[in-house]
Amino acid sequence: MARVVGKGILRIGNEEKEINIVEVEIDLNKVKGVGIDKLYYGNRE
Amino acid sequence: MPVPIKGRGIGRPDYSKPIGIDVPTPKAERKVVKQSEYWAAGEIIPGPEPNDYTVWFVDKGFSVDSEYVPKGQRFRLLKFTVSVPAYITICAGIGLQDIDGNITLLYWESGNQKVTIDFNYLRPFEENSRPIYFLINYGDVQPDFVDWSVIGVVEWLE
Repeated sequence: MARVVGKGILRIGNEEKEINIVEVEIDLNKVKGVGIDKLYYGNRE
Repeated sequence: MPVPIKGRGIGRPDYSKPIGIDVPTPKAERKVVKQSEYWAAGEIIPGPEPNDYTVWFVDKGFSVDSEYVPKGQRFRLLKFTVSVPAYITICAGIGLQDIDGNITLLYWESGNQKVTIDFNYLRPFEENSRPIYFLINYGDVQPDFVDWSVIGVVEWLE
């Protein structure tokens, strides 16, 4: 699931476009690398 | 008149011979034919609730047109900044097209109000991958907005 949570601007080279900022739902069990279980200690499912 | 070099004594190394050095060299990278700045900035309204997080990316994923770094290109993320009136942790991660749903968080930084990650030594995002941004709000209130910006370089490869 993804939803638009804001607006912004993206510029690549000389081309500038308005963008949507899209929030993505992630499964914390699929997050690797930095120990997210140490960083986030809330109760969100 | 040349000075004769005496033969080495027994058990002493012969320093007169050239030493062969076998240094492993990195594989030749694909040549960069063009570079363009990549600059994104925006506002998330509202920010995450207290002790909650939000994960986001730019529009379709990498840009307005592309879900991932397009074929023949790569992306160097140089700087990621978030400004929000709270104590926060920010992370940038990599999402791959072929392992959908999996995210690898590369680095994190915590601070109050404004936090920046400099990625000077980060490997570039190769094609079919994309940067993903992560923010955890440790504050007591939900911020009305979150300002963030990303500076990077898109490289076209031959």
